[in-house]
Amino acid sequence: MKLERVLPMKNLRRKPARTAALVLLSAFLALSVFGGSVMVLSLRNGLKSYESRLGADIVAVPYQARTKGSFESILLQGIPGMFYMDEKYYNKICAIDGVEAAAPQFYLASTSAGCCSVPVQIIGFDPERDFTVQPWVRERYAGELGDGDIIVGSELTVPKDGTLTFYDTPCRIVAQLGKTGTGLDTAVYTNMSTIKAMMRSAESLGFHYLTDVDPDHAVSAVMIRVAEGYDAEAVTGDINVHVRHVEASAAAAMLSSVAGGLRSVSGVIVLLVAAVWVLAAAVLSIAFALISHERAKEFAVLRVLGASRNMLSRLLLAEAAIVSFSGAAIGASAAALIVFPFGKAISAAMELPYLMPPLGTVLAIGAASLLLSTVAGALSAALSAWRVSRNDAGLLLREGA
Amino acid sequence: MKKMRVGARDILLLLIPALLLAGILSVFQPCSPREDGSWMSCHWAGRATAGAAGAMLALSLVRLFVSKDAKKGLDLALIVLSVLAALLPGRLISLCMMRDMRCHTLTAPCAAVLSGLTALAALVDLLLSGGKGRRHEA
Repeated sequence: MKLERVLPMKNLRRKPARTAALVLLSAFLALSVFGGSVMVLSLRNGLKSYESRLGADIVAVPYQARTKGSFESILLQGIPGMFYMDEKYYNKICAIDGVEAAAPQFYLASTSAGCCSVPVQIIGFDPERDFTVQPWVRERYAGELGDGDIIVGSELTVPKDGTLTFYDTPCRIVAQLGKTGTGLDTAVYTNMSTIKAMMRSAESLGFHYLTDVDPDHAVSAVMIRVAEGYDAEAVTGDINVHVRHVEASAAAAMLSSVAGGLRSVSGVIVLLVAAVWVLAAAVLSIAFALISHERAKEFAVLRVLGASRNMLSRLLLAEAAIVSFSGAAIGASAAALIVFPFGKAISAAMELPYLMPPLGTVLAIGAASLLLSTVAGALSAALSAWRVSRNDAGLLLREGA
Repeated sequence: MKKMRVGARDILLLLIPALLLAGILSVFQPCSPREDGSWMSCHWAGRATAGAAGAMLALSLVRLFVSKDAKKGLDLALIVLSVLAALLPGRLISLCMMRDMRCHTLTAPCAAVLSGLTALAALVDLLLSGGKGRRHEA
């Protein structure tokens, strides 16, 4: 019995190159399933977050938003956009039938002369009319957003003194929002009077972002909530027909384009994982078949020495299980070293919302990957183990004599 | 003359710091300069990390030519340097304010992962090289 316990390890140690090759194959199994699952789940989480973060049924922006940084780019990639329209369009939108609530937003991008070589998106909202930003703000800050106060996204480092200066306007950070996995994680939120003060300061510093619209009567986007009983698509159409120079998009349409991209990326990942699994499982089966064939005489000698058929099967299965588990542990660790530290880089490369699942889910996926890869490795050796147990020891030894 | 024996652990301890150095100087380098040509602090964090990686690589090279006892000392030095290299970007030298920038998404994770692997390899080598070192007789 003791021999049965030590023999698999001894056999594996005796052939380090063969063992290393088998471990590597099993590692690929675990790496693909763990890494792939975490990535697909993060993308799905990101889409959910994007959906809830949007918070409006319709988004209306000026036509120029197409060329001066689109709303989707701000939301998905955090690329700052600055586009403006006269406040009169906001009033026209409010007058459209089916519009229950409309909240204006004002966008400004900081200069790259601050901390970073890229500008930060500053979003001004009216706390009295807003219904898209405040639900998120309330999760972290219950107070009133005063003049000069800002709320920063989760991906901005808060300086020790708790202040940030934009266009010579010092601002006090009162809260930091939770992570959403969207481009808004690097944005700064403030009230309308503060952002308009920044705009005036920018003008005095020589940044003339607004040429044909009065800064005090300008808005960048209007977030619209549709009244019950009205169809968002129909209201979007009404706005596009009746309010000229404005482009309205239904949130559902914006989401479907992101969901489409997510489906393609997820599909590719799932396909790759499946291909790696099929290939690795096939190679492992062949490898175990070849190994058991090569070791036929070794097993025959063990039979002659008194090992039962079952013991031989268990021996080969134990070797396969040890190799698969070690490989799975190495593969899952390697995947963790890629998907967690480089998660943001992966998200930026895919240009899709990406939000890591909670720790409990990640641990469960890790445990499932280890189990699946170990079982797959052991199953690959099952047929070989059965064959080994059926071989006639006497015949095998006589053949080699 | 004693024959030089290079094992898998020696190759790993040479390869990982080399990857770190090459990565920080190329694909994992920090953010580009500002529009006015000035550098942000992440650039200096990257330079310091590259310096630490260079020192790690030099120690790994020296490891190949010294006795077993000296190797253990160099393993310890590699562990300390790896911790330094991992802490440099972000902890000891600040990075950019926006955490979706290159220095946060590529430079710091690369330094953390490859330094961690170097420290792990050096620790494993230290433990596996086993046995008590020769004591100097008085």
